[in-house]
Amino acid sequence: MNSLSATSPGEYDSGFSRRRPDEIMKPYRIGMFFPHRLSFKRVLTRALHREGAKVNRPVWQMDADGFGRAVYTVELGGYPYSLVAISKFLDPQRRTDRVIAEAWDTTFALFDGVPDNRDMQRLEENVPLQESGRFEASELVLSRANKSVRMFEHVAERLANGQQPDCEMIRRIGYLMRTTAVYGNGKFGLADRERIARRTGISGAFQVEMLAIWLIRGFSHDLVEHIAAKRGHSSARLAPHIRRFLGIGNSTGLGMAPFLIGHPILLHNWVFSRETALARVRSIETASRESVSRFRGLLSRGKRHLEEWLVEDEDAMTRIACLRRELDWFADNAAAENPGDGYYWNRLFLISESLSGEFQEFCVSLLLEPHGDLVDELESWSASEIETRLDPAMTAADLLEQLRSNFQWALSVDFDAAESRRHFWYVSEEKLEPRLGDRYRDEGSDLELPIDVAYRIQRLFRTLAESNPAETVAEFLLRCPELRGAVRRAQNLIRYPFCEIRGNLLDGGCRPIDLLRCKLSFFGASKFDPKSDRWIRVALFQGAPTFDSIGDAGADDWLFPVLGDFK
Amino acid sequence: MAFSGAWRFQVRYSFNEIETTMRKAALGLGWPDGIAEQFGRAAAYLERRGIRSIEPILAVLEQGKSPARPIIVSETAVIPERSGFSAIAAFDLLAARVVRHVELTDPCNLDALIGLAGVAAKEFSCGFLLKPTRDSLVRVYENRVYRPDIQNIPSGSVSATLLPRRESLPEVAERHDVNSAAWHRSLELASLTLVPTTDASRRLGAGAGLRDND
Repeated sequence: MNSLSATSPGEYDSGFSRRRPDEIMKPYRIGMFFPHRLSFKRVLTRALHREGAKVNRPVWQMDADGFGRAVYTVELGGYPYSLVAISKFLDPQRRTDRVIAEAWDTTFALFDGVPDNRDMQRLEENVPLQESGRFEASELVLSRANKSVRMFEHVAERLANGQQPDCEMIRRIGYLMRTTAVYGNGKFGLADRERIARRTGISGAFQVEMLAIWLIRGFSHDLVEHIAAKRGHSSARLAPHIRRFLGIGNSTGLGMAPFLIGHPILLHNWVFSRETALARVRSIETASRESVSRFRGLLSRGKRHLEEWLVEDEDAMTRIACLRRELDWFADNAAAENPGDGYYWNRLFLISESLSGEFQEFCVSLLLEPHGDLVDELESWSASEIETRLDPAMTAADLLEQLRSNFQWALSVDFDAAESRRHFWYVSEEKLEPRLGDRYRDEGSDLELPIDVAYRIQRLFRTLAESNPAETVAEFLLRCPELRGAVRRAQNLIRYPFCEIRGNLLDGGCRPIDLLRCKLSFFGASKFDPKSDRWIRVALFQGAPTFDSIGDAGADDWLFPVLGDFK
Repeated sequence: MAFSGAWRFQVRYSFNEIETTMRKAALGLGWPDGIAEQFGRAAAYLERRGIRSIEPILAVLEQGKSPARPIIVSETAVIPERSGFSAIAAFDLLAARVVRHVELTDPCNLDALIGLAGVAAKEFSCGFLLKPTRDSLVRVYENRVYRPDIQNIPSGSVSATLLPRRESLPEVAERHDVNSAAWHRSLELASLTLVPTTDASRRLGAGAGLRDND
C-alpha cells in the first residue's frame, strides 16, 4: 500500500511533468473529471478477469413478484466473498433515494466468506434495516438499491412477452436499479478496512465496495429476468449486449464532499496517480501502431457515448453539447497529426489544451486508455494507510513561508464579503443526513462541519504572522491548540500537493456536485446527471463485463460504453 | 445512536466506529477539531492494542480544557495542568526536541496517555517512554505497547521521554466489549454535533426531493 508524496521514490521522474495542482485542484475543474482506466471499477474488473473469477448463485429463493433472497459467491485472491441480497415489497410512498429513507426495494451485504444458516438468519433480520441494523466483522459492505420503476417494469414486461426492451430507453436510463448508499470500513459494526487491506485483488481503494456493486448489478439483471419468466410463458432473457450495457445507477448527495476533505492523502493519491499516468503517456516518444489504432477507435466510441449522454439539467446538457462539438473538432485536428512524428500523444494533449477544461479531462481518459501496460501498475497507489501528519519541529517562520507559497488560493479569499461565507455544511440529526445551509437564513451554523479549509488557513496565517518566527510548531500549538487541524493540513500540502481542493467551499457560488463528480469519477461513474447543485445520479458498471463475460478477451474494453458496441 | 435491529449476538464496535464516536464526542464537548481527531485516533489505537479506550478517553474529554502552560527549565518541561491539551503538548514538545523530558505532574489517566502517545508515535515516527512510577516503564510505539501490569501502577505524575522508532507489524486485537454507560455517554456527546432537523432543512438541505418513483 503506497502513499505518494511529491518526493516519493518511484515517482515518475523523467519526460513531461504532471499538470500543476493549482490548475487541476480547483473545485470547478475537479467537477469535470471523467472515469478512466485507473478508476476503481476498472481495477476490480481487471482483477476479476485476471483470476478467471466465476460467480455462483447458491441461493435463489424468489417468489413470482421477485421478493425473497439470493446469495452470490465469487472468489478473488483466494478468498470467497458472498453478496446476500434481500428483495421486499416497497410502498411507493416510501421510495426515496435519500439517506432519510427507512425502507428499500432491495438490500445487500457483502459477506466475507460463505454465510451459513445462522449468518443468513442474522443478516435477513438486520440487512433490510440498513443503518438501524447491527453487523459483525464478517460483513464487509452494506448497501441498498431501489428500482428505477419505469425502466424495471418496462424491461420485465417486454421480456415477459418474449421481446427485448426498447433500446432508446435503455440508452437514456441505462440501469434497472439505483444504489442509494454503499457503506464499508466499520460502519454499523462492519469489518474495519484492515481486515482486507492486505488481500490480493481487493486491497485497493473501495474495491470491496466495487465488488458489492458489481454483484448487485448482476443481481438486478437476474431479478428482472426472473420476474419476466414468472409472468410470461414465452419469456425472453436479456440479450447479451443489453445485459452488458445495463449498469447500476447510483444517487449521491452531499456526503461525498466531507469525505474528500476528511481524507486528503487519499485524494492526493488518486489524482497524483492519474496525473502521473498522463505524464507517462505524454512522454512516449514513439506511438505504437496498435495504440494509435485503439485510440482512433476510442474517439469514435467517445462520440457515440456523448450522443447517448442525455440529461434533463439544461446547464449540464449545454456542457455536453459543447463537448460533442469539441470532440468533432479535436478528431479532425488529431487526424491531421502524423503518429510517426515524435511525441504523438503529447501533441494530441496540447491540441486538447486549446479546448474547454471539461474536454481536456475527457481527453485525459482517452489518452490513458490504450496504455494499460504503462499505467495500470499505478492502480496500487489508490489506497493509503498514511494519516495526515504534523511536523512539530518546523518553525513558525517556515510554516508562514509555506503558507505564502502554497496557499494563495486560500489567502486570497475575502472572508469579509458575506457571500464568501454563505454556505455551511452540517449533519442533520435526521438519520445523519449531510446537508448544506445558508448561514444568513438557516439555523445550525454553530455546528458546521470543519471543512472550511480556506477560512482556517487564513486564520492560521494571521496568527502565525504575529508569532515569534523562531518558535517551533510545538510551542505555537501550546498557545493556539485550536489551530492544530489547520497546521496539519498546511504541512501536508507540502508533501501531498494534490491533497486539497483549492477553493472556498463556503462560498455561495460553490457547487457541491463538483466535489461529488470528482469522487464518482475515481469510482468510475459515467453519465453524470445532476439533479440540483448538490445531488447527482450516475451509472456505474455500464458496459462492464457481466458474470458470464468477465473471462472474455474484451473484458477490459469498456471506457465510454455505447449500447451497440457489445453485440 | 440507536439501532433497532434484532440480534442475538454480543454487540462489539468496530475500531472505526470507536474512533469516529470518540472524535465526535470531543467535538460535542467543544474540543477543537484537530484535537478531537487526536482523541479519536487515540481511542482506536488503544482498542487495536487490546486496551479498553472509551472510559479513559471520555474521562479526559470531560476533565476540562485548561491550556497547557509548561514550565521549561533547561531540557525539562513540567506541565502541571490536568488536561488533554497537556498530554498532547508533552509529545509535541518531545518530538520537536524542544525538551528531552516532560513531567506531567497531574496527568490524565495512564491509558489515555498511552493512547495519545501511540498516536504521536505514529504521527512523528518515533516511540515514547512513559514512567508512571520510578520502577515501572511503559514503552509506546506506532504499532505496539510494552507495559507492566497496569493494575499495579498508582496514579501520580508521569514523566515522558522520546524513544527511537521501532518497526513492527501492527498488533491488532479482536474487538471486545465496551462499557455500556461510557459508550452511551459518548454517543450522547457525539449527538451534540448534529443539527436539529426542520421542515426547511429536510426539503432544501440535501438538494433532492422526497420521492423517487421515476
